[in-house]
Amino acid sequence: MNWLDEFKSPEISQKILDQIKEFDFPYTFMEVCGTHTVSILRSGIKFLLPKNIKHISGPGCPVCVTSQGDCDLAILAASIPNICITTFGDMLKVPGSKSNLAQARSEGKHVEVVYGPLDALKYAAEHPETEVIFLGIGFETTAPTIAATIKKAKEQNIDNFSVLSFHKVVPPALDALLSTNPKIDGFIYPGHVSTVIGTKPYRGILKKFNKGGVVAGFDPVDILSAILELLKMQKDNQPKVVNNYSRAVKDEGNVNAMNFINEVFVTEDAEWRGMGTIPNSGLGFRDEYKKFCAKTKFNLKSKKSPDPPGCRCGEVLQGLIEPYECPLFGKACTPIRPVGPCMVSTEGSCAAHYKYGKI
Amino acid sequence: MSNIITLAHGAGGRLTSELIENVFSIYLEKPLKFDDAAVLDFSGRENELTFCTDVHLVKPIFFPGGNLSLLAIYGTINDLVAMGSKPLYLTLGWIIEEGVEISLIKELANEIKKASDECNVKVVAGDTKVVPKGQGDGVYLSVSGVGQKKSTLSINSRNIKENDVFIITGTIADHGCAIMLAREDFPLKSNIKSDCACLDKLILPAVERFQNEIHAMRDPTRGGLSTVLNEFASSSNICIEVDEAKVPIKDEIYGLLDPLGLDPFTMTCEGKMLIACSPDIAEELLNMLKSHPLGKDAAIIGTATNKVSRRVILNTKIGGKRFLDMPIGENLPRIC
Repeated sequence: MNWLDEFKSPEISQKILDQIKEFDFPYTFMEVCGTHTVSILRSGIKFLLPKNIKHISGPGCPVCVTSQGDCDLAILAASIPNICITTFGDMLKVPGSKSNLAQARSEGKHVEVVYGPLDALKYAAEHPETEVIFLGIGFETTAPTIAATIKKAKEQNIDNFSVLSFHKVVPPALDALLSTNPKIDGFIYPGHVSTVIGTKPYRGILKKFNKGGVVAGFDPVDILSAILELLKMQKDNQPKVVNNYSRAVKDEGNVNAMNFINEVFVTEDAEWRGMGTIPNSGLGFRDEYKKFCAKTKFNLKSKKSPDPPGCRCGEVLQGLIEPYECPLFGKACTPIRPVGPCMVSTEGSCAAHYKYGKI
Repeated sequence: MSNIITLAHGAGGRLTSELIENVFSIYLEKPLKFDDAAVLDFSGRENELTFCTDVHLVKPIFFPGGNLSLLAIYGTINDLVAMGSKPLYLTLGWIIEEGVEISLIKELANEIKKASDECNVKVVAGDTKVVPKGQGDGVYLSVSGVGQKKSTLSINSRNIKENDVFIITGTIADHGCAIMLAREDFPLKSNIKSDCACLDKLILPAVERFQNEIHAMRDPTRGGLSTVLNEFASSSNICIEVDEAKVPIKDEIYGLLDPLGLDPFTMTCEGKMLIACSPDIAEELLNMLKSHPLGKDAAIIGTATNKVSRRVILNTKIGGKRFLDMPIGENLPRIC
């Protein structure tokens, strides 16, 4: 067994599960990251946990938290003549109030799926006659490469490239979550985001709310050992921030990546789907890079758009209800015809619960 | 159902099934529903004719482990073999975009010749259409096939019974990964090759030996293993329970798909067969498959039960249980 296999080991997982079962007090933990949500359901962890441990999913899927108004804006941008929208594939299916980008593409709008922002910039360089807009979706994980791409566009004077920034940053969302849902006892902090921001931002959360958390990787052993760690700190009544993913995450994070973000972007208020406006939780452009801001360049303005009737995604995203408790879940709202954002992305908690199910 | 066709309707998952059920089944009499080939009814004969048709397009046209011609010929033959029938004749339909070089068509034709000789089938008819530049995407190849099977054989997706055992003849997801990597815009490179292969010599001797103890077969192509398992569960009105740890998947495939958030169960295969058989013959059939190079990684992966009708349950490696569903549309890597 190599060291990476150990994190998938059924034997080690079972040993940790046995230890978890020795704690008999009630405990509610939230995993913030969509990849954790999928991993917890895909590996069957959710239904292997004892009944006293409640697991809830948070707003950690970048697609899910992109507001309906922002999706409408992307579709509107695709309608401008001579525009090519470049995007990560996930965004194609996210519904705006009337349509989505996949449908816009089927209707003849120019929408290209790319694997990263550099591909979008390359496309812009090769097609100087086309205005290329990249959809800047994601948390601190994707923001550095997008910032680096914008820097490169500036250095190379590629003027037909711009970014529609819908970026979100995680720590303000955790603050907002704990303000609305005090029942969360502890977090599994997002592994990918933490590789960039490190563990320090979580210390602020600990200080303000006295709630601890564990940074974890994505394999079953990572997640189970994080839950065990959370239980131990609860039992000892000593909430703290633990880095259980030290093979990828440094306490100080990735300083270079943060420098890219801070050079190009500045925090601004952002609209989170289902959660409303969270102060300083989005990334807008600094003045020096404003010419690459698609909103400014094409005078695009987001409009607030109410969530669809009956949709309780906002409560799901905040861990206030389980996906099954939404009356639309699996009936009016399925991955084929999603009503709410949590059913759209493969990493949305409703989609993951629908797909992997409760047997 | 969406008002317009999207790429997801062609991805072989849930939306493809909806298109067949909600459109083709309504307007076409007895379409090829949930089986790979039709059995043509010539009552009272010792042998029956089987017939199937498929359209093939792939980018890039040549990829590690195969090309468009091999996909088209092998794919058609495998559809016939999945019914337990011996492939005999093929017809070709070419749709070529204006501007394609004749040297490419020669190369593809030569590959068709090699593949059909290898499988001992004859190409007996064909048609060619050229579409104006910009109205196609290089070369599309439509292949129809005719085969022959014993009329006593009844291998189809409605035939699976409780306690039946499921065997996959080798590793899954190889073709889907090879194509993903071969695309110019994909940033990673590796040595993964397509599993594109003709399965007649692996499967037909097993059919000859075990006859009706083999209840259903299907080659998991678009939509991957999870789609075929779900179609089987639905057609036979049973539950299928699969053990994740027993499904053969190469380490490098895991290594590629895991970080991208893609599921190997939904990735395309082109040279594998999923077989549902009586538990009495499962071990013997497995050993027979393993003795052939194309079946060396064959494994028993699950059984038919009555737990949750028409659903597939995956027993996870760490002892959990979850549903294994069909993919919804296109496979898309996650953002982060």
